[in-house]
Amino acid sequence: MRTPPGVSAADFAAAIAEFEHMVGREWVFTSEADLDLYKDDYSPFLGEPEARWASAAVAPTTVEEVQAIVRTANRYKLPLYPISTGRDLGYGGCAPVYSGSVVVDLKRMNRILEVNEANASCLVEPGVSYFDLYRHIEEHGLKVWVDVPDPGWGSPVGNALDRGGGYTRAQFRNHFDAHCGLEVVLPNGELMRTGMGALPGARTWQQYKSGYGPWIDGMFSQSCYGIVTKMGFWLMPQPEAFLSGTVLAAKQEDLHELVRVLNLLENGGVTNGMPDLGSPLLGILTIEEYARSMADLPQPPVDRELLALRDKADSGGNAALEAYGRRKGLAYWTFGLKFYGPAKVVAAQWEYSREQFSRIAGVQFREGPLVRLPLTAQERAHVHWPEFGIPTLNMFSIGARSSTNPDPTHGHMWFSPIIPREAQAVFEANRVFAAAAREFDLPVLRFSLPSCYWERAFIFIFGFPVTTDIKTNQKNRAAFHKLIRIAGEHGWGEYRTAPAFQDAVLAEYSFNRHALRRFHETVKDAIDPNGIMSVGRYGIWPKRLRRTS
Amino acid sequence: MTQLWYSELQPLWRRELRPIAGLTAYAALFCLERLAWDHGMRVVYHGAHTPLASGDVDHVVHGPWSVRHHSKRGSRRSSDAHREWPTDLADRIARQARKSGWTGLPPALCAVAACARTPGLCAERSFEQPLHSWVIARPARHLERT
Repeated sequence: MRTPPGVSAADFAAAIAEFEHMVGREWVFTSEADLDLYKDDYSPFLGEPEARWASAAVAPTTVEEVQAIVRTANRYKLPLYPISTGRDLGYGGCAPVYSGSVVVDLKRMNRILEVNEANASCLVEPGVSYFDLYRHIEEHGLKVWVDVPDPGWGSPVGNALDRGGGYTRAQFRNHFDAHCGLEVVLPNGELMRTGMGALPGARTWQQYKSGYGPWIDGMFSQSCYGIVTKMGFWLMPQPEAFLSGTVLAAKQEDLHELVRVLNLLENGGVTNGMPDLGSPLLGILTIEEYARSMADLPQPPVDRELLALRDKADSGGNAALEAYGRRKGLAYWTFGLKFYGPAKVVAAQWEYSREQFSRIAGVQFREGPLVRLPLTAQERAHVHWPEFGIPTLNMFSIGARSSTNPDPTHGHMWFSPIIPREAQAVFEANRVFAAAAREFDLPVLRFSLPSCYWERAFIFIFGFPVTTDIKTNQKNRAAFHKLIRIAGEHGWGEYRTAPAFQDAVLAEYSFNRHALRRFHETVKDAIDPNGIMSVGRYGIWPKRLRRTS
Repeated sequence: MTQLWYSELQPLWRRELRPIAGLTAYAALFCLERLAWDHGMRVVYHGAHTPLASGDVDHVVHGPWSVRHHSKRGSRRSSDAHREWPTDLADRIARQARKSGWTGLPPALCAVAACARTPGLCAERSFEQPLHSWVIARPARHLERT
């Protein structure tokens, strides 16, 4: 049995014995075979001593057990690392940031406490998965949707706390924004509720988000300040219909006007689903096209001339590519718009959107079928399930060995900077990242388009390969660090990252001599003086480890 | 995988935590073990079967002694029989499961891998990527602590 740093073997054994007494011996994990499940499957330190490891794991079922675990940890100065279901692939998985921590695995706290159809809300524990919640909704015939990420096997609580995103209407696909009320076990073991949950007898915990006074919910996301044991969410009322339409534009410069109009429509609530950007000429698939490609059907061969032109288009294209598109009838850009709502309304929204985009010379439109909801079995076979609130594992087929991917990598780490919602920023980011990729000899980055998970800003999501070769991983980690720095110099910051890079990313958020980090550290020292909770998570370290972090 | 989850595993594991076994690509095993771990189950037997350019197949097996023992013996069988190896292996695993169940296996017996090579097993390119045979079940932790 490996002990946490700074904890004696005797103290560790005593703490483990107390955990076993609390939750049952069967639910305290100390064997190597069990603890293997708490490694990061996509660790960029694969096979290296820096790979994160857990000294033990404990799986409670009640809030009282969580409180007791926290109190014991304080007594022995034992670092804890809570996880919900521990997916988070590409951002660290379920491995603790600080090696030797005891993972508090909340998977057995899997009660769906309420789904309120009239209020379109729910209250769940952290071990509830998207699959569980979807099944509950289906079995009870409730006319609400839960917005799901892709893959959808994780926990709504865990994904929201890591500020993940989904695919339906904007207010729901931002998973943390969709939450309403938390219950948290604080680092001293005390139980706290936020928002209206702090008012005894209130029936508005899942109705009014901010309660009274400073709104602190955000402090428990990407956080080291407590263990969330209950979380409320607003759910999406099942819409009457869904309509998708695609805007096709022919020129490279059209991206400027496309983005401007898109922002106008989205910010005004005219288009309410997730915009889906692609480029047939540059070979950038939309999410819909990705979903279709997962079926591993034979793909039509790409014209050699087009491939050659793409190779010279790392900054977004050239006149020759544009001319090729005109000759072959291939669009430069496609913007997929999604509309959820009453059938008459979504038809009108699409019509209005077409009017706005028609100001771009030569623009064309393609309209998808109007889908009446719920989906029929036949319709389900042809859609991207997460856009309809249905959890799926199909995303894994992208990384699996297939005819189009005969040599898959071991895993990936996401590099995901936030950039402004402007075409100029898209071109600039591509230019900067492509130059960096050449400098650091990376197998990425062709010209890419950002995603629109969140309103008002773009996000680029680049997958850095994790391999089984240590030298390659070392090279990619070094490049990742340099990209964080380069992005920071341009004002582009990661929204989330794996433990290997969390300190580096926080260092970029440095306004006024790192005032944000210093504030976090002040809070950390005040509420967690023993420094036991989620040590080092997102770059925030307890006092005793700050110099060495 | 999604279909298997919705139609088989989710309903099954809601009723009863029963072991499952299979022969799949690694990606499927990876997903299944993660899903199973939510229910306190994990891989208790694992065999990796890697085709080589020569047409031979390398087997590396982690698991109960009796299964490994049978696998090694199997490597000496005739080439005709080799074509039936997935069925053959599944049969051995099932027999072992019937005999002792997948719990209660002394960890010392699981800790050492067995290796074998089957000549010419995939000479007809019957499979090109590594395949994995596995059993997912609740492990016997009280024995693993010894």
